Amino acid sequence: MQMVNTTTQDGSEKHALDNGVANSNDGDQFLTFIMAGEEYGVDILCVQEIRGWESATPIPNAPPNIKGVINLRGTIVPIVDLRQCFGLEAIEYTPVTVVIVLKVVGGSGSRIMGIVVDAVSDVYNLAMDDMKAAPDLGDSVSTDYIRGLVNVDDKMVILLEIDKLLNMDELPDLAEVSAKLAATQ
Amino acid sequence: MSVDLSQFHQVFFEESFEGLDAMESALMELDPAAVDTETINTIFRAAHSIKGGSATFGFSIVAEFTHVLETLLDEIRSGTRSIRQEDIDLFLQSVDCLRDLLHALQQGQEPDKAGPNQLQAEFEEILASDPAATQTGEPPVTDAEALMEAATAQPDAPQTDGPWRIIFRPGRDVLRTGNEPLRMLRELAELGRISVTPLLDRLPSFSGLEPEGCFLGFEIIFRDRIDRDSIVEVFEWVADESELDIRLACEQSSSAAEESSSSAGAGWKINFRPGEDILRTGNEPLRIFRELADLGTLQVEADVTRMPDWSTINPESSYLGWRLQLPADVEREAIDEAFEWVVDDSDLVIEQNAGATDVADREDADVSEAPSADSSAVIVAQAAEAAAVVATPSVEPQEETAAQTPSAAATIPAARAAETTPAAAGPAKTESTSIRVGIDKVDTLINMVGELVITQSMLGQLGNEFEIDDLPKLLEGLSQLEQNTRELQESVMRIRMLPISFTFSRFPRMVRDLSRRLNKKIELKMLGEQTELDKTVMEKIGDPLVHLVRNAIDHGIETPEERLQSGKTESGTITLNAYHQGGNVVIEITDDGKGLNRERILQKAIDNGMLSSKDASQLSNEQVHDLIFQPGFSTAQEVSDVSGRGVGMDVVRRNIQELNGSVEINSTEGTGSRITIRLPLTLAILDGQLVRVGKETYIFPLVSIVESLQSEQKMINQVAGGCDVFQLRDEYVPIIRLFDIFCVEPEFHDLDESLLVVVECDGEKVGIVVDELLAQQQVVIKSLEQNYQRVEGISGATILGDGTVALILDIPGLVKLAGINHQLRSRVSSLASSHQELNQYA
Repeated sequence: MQMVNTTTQDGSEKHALDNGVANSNDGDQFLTFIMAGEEYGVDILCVQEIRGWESATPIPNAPPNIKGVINLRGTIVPIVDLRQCFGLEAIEYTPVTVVIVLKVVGGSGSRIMGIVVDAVSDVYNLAMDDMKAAPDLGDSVSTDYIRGLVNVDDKMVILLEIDKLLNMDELPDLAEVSAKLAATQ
Repeated sequence: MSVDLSQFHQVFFEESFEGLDAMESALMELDPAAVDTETINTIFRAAHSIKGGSATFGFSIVAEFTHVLETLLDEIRSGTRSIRQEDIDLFLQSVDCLRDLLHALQQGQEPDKAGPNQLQAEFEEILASDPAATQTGEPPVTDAEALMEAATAQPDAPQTDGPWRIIFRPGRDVLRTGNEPLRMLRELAELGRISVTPLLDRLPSFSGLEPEGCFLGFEIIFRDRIDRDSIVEVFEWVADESELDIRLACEQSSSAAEESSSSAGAGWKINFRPGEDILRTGNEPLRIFRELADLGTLQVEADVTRMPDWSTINPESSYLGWRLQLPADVEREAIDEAFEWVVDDSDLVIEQNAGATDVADREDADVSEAPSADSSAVIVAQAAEAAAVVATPSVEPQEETAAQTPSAAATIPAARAAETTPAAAGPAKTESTSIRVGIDKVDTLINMVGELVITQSMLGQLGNEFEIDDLPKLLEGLSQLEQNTRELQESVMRIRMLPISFTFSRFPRMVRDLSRRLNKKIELKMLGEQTELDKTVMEKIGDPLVHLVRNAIDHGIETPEERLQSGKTESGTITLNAYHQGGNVVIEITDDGKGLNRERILQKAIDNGMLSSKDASQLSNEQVHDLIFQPGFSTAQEVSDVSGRGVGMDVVRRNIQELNGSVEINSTEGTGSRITIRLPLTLAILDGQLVRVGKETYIFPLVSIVESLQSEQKMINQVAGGCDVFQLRDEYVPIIRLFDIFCVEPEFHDLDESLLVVVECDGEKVGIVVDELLAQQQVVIKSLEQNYQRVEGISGATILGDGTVALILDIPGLVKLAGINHQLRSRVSSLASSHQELNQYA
């Protein structure tokens, strides 16, 4: 079977592994969420919990996409607005706005962060073979944080490489990326 | 290092450091004029256990050094030598030196040998100075050198000879007196290649064995060249109670191990190899042998082929096998019965034996499994250890039995051999910190937990069948829970608390050394040594305290002549006092010296360009005293190695501030100074002042707040368009608008409405504008960096009673963030004059 490779190097290794193992599990599980009409997916193993939006304590002089910190059972957890990360228009938070708490593995160990999304959608079992590489958006824009694109029931799901996306050391300004991504569709 | 020993390294280091502390304080007490034997004994004991421990763990450099120390101490102890002040100094130096060595070893570094070697030479000089010292067969001084040489693999030193044949029969009580023959064998093995054969002729019958008695003798062939004294030295501690015969091997007809070919007639031959865990399962082979011995004359031979390498030996495992012989008239059932409990875990072969030759062959074969002659020597020594511990087997291996076909394979499954070698674990971690906690604290904690459990079950029961009438009960239960939680928190915190004497204990020595060096007479008083302080705080306060005490000695206390001239007693006094005050620990360092000299400080400040002479005259005493905390400030006329480089006081202040503490100085010229340090009890909990700015709540560390007051617009002036200053009585204080630098929307933009919190930062006052003061409460500090990153102006976060997060302000960070130029700030705040003068600086 043909293996589709992503543009990232370490990604390909992982997928090769997935491809080789033909066990009962037919692919990885992804939690998907909706943002501005698009469906995004994150590896479900990164997800710690899903909770409703509650007001966070703002951090002074933080970038606008950092909404603040919340108390998650005694741990201080920063909340990132993914919309603002992607340069999408910010929307008013409502009681149904959802925070997905993720465990992100970064350079200095793992950290816990929350991302604000419009709504949680579904959990899919996705075979890695069906994944298409993210389109090349040119040299100026890195697509490292996109693991690939997958079709589910004629919808496109964008799978995110969450460790790279939320690496605090260099939280990317993704507005440009998403604009280009939208243009290619 | 080996796996099994390295796990004890930490304990060894801790105990050694404790021992060194004990040695030090005992040395401090020691008065050459009236020597207290008990004190000497204390020192000796400490040195001895460090020596023993370091030899056990293979830290030979420490062991050798301590050994020389011990030799001198022993002479003092036995009264053959009187102690002089110089000796005490030398001992103190060697305590330092040992401490350095141990530190280096603890860090896994190669220790610096120069220090110990030099001190060792000095000790040897002392030892050599009095030949009467070598009375009880103690080695001449040159031994230590020879030992050093031998240890560094230079056996070709003069006066050496070899090979040696040593017959060593330790006294029966040698184990009980804490002398381990094995350790001596190890020491010998460090000097050169040895082979050891146990001498078993004095072994009593089984029933006469005492587990703590030593009945073994050893025949040691030392194959390298070495001088005789080095060998004697190894045995010096047991020489009195042992038989020791040291000869050159050539002088002696080698009649080694003639007893080995014991007469073994026809009868039962039992090959018994217990499982490695046999001792742990509570089955003692010795007991079995006793049972067998009751049946008839029993002959036992130990099989040591399964002995692992020295480094991997596990004291709780049994590696030995035994070959037993019983007379033919013993019932087979009786033998089986004796082994009944262990037969499942062991390899057991019981057969009728025709004659003795078979056994001898087998035995030779077993021993020949040892890979080389060298390692067989080691194995023999291991057998000796096992023999000393278990006190049973007769061990008769001979290293000459080199190349015979191993026929024992039939009775010893090969797989078992692999099991006997424990897997090597990873390298030892160099530093793991631990804390010693009094048992009473742990007991209190357990009591608390007990109460918590009771409350929890009460609440649980209430919850199961709750009716609204039970509400008062519920509330009562909840308040009880709250109390339990608070008490639990306090007791857990108390576990981290150590008495401040841990820090204070280093000062007597320091004061003594420094006062001698500076020719001053100083008495040190310490009060409140039992005051408890968080371990982390304690570790960080040590260096600043040392600095302050050094300063007091160097700058504070005058020379005896000066003191007499100014009508004081000849000897000065430095008092260290620690006590609790509110949620703080206060440490005071008081001296009755000359105090701070206002003129000299001012002159220095003017020279350094910190002040103009005009301002200088207007400063209050407090402000002048505060100057010494400025960077680069030192009034010592000349830089000594004690103090005066001008890196002192500002570092002290910064360190203390990092601990959320504060330091202030009070001084009266001519009568002395007092430095007061205030520290929070713990770093995990902070006394905070909650303030509100707009909708946000922030927390000020309470210690940094000087005062809070209503601000008034008319009291505020702008300096050069940049910095706003507030006129606080006779001072000008720069102000920071929190809403400005944190970009939050405040309730009041108008300064007439808002409040001003005056905080102290680096000795400067700064006013911070907030909307409202809320409660004061203790807050638990949580890290922001754990999941996010460092935020400028914020030192951490905490969780308030309602579950929301509040940020804790970092005052120095805030000031930096506000971008107020330090130079400007210091000038502004030190000015108490008109606007015109202010403008001139801006």
